[in-house]
Amino acid sequence: MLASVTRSKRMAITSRLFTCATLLTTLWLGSAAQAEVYLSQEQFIARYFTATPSHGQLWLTQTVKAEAAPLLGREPAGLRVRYQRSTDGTRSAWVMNEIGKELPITIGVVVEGERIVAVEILAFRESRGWEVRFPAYTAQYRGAQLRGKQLSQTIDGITGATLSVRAVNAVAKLALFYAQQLEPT
Amino acid sequence: MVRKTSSSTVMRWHSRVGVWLFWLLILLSLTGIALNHTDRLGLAKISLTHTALLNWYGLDAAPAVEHSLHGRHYQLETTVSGEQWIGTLYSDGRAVAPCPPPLLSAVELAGQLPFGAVLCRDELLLITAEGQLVDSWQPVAGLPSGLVTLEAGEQLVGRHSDGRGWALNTDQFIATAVAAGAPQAAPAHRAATGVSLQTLLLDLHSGRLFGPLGIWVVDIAGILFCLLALTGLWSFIRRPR
Repeated sequence: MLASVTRSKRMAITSRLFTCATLLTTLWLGSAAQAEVYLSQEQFIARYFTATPSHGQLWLTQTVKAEAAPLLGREPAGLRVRYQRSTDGTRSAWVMNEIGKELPITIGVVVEGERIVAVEILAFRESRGWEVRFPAYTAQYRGAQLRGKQLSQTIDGITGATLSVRAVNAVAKLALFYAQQLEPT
Repeated sequence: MVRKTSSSTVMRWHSRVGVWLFWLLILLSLTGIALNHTDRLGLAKISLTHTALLNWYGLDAAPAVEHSLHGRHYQLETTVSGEQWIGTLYSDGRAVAPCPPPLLSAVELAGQLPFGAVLCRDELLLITAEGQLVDSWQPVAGLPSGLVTLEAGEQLVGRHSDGRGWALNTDQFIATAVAAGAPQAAPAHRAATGVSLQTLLLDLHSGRLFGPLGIWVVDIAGILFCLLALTGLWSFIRRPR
């Protein structure tokens, strides 16, 4: 009798452990194989603009590229950057790609009055460093300004996501710089 | 006497195993050190293109697919890094932009500026006649996913393999459905032009380069390294002082 109780207890514990392991594996696989797009550009814009913003393009002249180079660590690629801007011209949104380690991270930045309102990771394609998409991390950029080549506030890094953090920092600075280049409406 | 014999037997085996495994220990140490500094050494960016290596990995050498736009030749270089396939578009030997493999289509665009459009897997690159990247369009910004070819006429049209088409406004980044056309050939299987040094070192370090047998060899070597450490410690403790 005692033996059978012990056995059934053991079975129950084994079954629970198995369930936990399955759940953890599912969670882990889910996080590793998450769809690379977390937020479409449309959803990102809808989140931070009450009215439909206007579309614009900032052409990257040699001068702009040269000034942007220290913020990014190299000259930005491409000849134009697309942005969206509120009708009163105070708020602008920038969606840019920056390579973390090997593949580009799509990062959205909303700027208002030379300060960052929000940073969001729209798409992440690499196998490591995706922790940068967590609100606890991106919230650190709120209110940041560009001071010379640096952000006005300290951004705490994430262990194991150094290159992703570097990419998000670079894009945050670049968005602030690009927002300064826009003509007032 | 018995203790002395067993001690000398252990040390004899300690020496033998040490001699058998010294090369593996050196290999694992060197690859481990290199992998610890992957980013600093840029190992992921070093592409090894030797045919024998590609064959070893079971990769087909990428066929020389070239597209010409405004008199320039465009080619994709694909490197396998871990489970990721990383492509870079080159124009006459100069890197233009990252471009997820395979390179599917390229057309010249009619417009005020002589732009070209290059379609990679879920990414459309806009390029000047001089081979400079203007901008890139991805599904996150509204590019229809899964396009396999481009058609340039009055407007740029991207098509899926089943013939469904989208007019692609490359200025506003807006895709509008158009009439379906003929089914398109599905993209060819992916082929690589290289394997990253990081992948090679990782596979050497884990033994995966030599298949399941290699993994077992590294596992067994790991156990033997532990035994070597223990017998070495045992010998140190028992050494007459």
